[in-house]
Amino acid sequence: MSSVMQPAPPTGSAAETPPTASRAARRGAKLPLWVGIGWIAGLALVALLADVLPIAGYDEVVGAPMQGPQLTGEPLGTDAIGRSVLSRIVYGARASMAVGLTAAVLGLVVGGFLGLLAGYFRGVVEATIDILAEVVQAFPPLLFLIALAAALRPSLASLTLALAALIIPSFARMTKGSVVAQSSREFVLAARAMGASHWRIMFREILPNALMSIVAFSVVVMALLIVIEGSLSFLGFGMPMPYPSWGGMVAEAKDRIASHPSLTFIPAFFLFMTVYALNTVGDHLRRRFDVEQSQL
Amino acid sequence: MLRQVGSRLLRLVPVLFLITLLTTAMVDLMPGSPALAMLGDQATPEQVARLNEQLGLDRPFHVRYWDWLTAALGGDLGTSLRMGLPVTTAIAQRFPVTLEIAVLSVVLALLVAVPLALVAGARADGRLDRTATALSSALLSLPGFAAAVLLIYLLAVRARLFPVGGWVPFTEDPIGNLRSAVLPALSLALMEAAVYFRLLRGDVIRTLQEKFVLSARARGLPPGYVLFRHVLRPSLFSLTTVAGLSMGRLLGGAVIVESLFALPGIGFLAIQSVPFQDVPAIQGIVVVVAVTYVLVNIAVDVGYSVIDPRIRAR
Repeated sequence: MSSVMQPAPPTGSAAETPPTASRAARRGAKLPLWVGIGWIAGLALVALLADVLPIAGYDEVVGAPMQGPQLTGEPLGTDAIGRSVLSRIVYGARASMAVGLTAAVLGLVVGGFLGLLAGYFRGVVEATIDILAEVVQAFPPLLFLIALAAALRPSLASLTLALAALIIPSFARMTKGSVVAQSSREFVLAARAMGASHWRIMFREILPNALMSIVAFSVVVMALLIVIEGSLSFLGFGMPMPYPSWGGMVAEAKDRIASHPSLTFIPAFFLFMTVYALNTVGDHLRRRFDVEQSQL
Repeated sequence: MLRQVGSRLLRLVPVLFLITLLTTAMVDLMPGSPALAMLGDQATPEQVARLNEQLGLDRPFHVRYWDWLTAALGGDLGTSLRMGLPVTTAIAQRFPVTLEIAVLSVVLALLVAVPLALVAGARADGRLDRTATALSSALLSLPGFAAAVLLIYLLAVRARLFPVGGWVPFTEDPIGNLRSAVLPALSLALMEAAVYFRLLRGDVIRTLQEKFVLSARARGLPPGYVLFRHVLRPSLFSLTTVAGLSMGRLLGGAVIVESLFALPGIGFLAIQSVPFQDVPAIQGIVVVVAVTYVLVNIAVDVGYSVIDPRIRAR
């Protein structure tokens, strides 16, 4: 379907950093990581403190429309109806982070559990879960989200649920792969020989070993979810009005792009930086835990 | 091989059944009704009820689904409520647009990514490699709609090279058609190219460590020759799969790009049909997209075993 639905690309391979990479180059490669961590931390802080920060309300008209960024007054300017762009960016951050994080956690828990079942029991359980996953994945993703969110009545909660539903199959598949790999290892065989229950083997033996790579995966998924939420809002099917969303801000401003390009590019830049930060951190985690697993 | 394809096709049956059932259910659960959407807010409840009856929407859920299913099995996807023409016709009219954009963007992405990945991979960690890798991570983080808006600003608004939107059919004006297709295709190609580049670069680096490359170099073959004749082909396997899969995905219609540029493709049709609760149209698109997606997936797997004899032997 659309380019936003790109599943997290396989960037975590060992070939990412060639064995010949010099130490200086490796240290240089750490810079984006720290930028990413800093950006996420800063944004999370701002999103949490949005109500206490000295900014206007997101729906409050603060001055003349479409003022550019100013040194005194509105640092990022005002939008087409005179609302503060800075405030809308901040509240938009809150929405993006909340929706992305909640949907990723929901997807992780439900998809992880299904993947654990599928990878451990195989057979009919696996086939059933596979077919369900295929149903969701063969759907045109944005169409699925729009229809599901509309069926559940548009709200922040229904949007989050729809996003979680979309991402559950990816978590299930990813977890299943890890679990299948872990299941054939000696300690699982040993636990089985000792007569441990299925429940115990799944949650005490297999899950702790598979968990970190799944968590690393969920950081990248959160980036993907933020892009999808932005895309839905861009199409006008996301966050209910007048709550700000970066995607919605780009959509509102795009018709004035010739005269007021900054109105479009400010929210686009925040979206880009956030996705970039999450991708960088997620990739780093994935690479790290991939390596640890292959060394075992 | 044949058995594998057979079982994959067999799996398509429950998947399609569940997908269409789910679509009908979701549209059913939406607030309002198609009749209300067609008549507008001023319509009296009686008018709405009458139109719903005419459209057969007053019948119970399972009856409607069953009727649709039996007709669809005979190749009749019904009539669109919004456009009043057969769904198969509507999809057939729009498919070429989506196909052209999909092919063009995959080709553009490959043209950029393949040479760049070869050269970058050959000098891993060199200046070019580091620049290209950094650029690809940036592109991977640029949401499709932001990329499209950025391209519109740079190439259509500022440079005035391409139209801001709209679609010129090929039969009317081949050059104009290409001009209207470039920006949408490029918007999609940016991210595809980044994915392809990363994948192929990694594979090239791995292939370069093989003994046959060492032997080719030892025989004194020029580096460029070794790269293109010895390294490229064995590095292409995963790229072939991924490019095939993105083709399958893009054939489902790029909703955002198609609506942003107002292209009469499958994705735009889908997005227009949802607010009208045009069940036959949504249902038809979902079926066509899902079938295309699964078929392309199977084709990719078959194609893969054709290129790589080691898979066939298994």
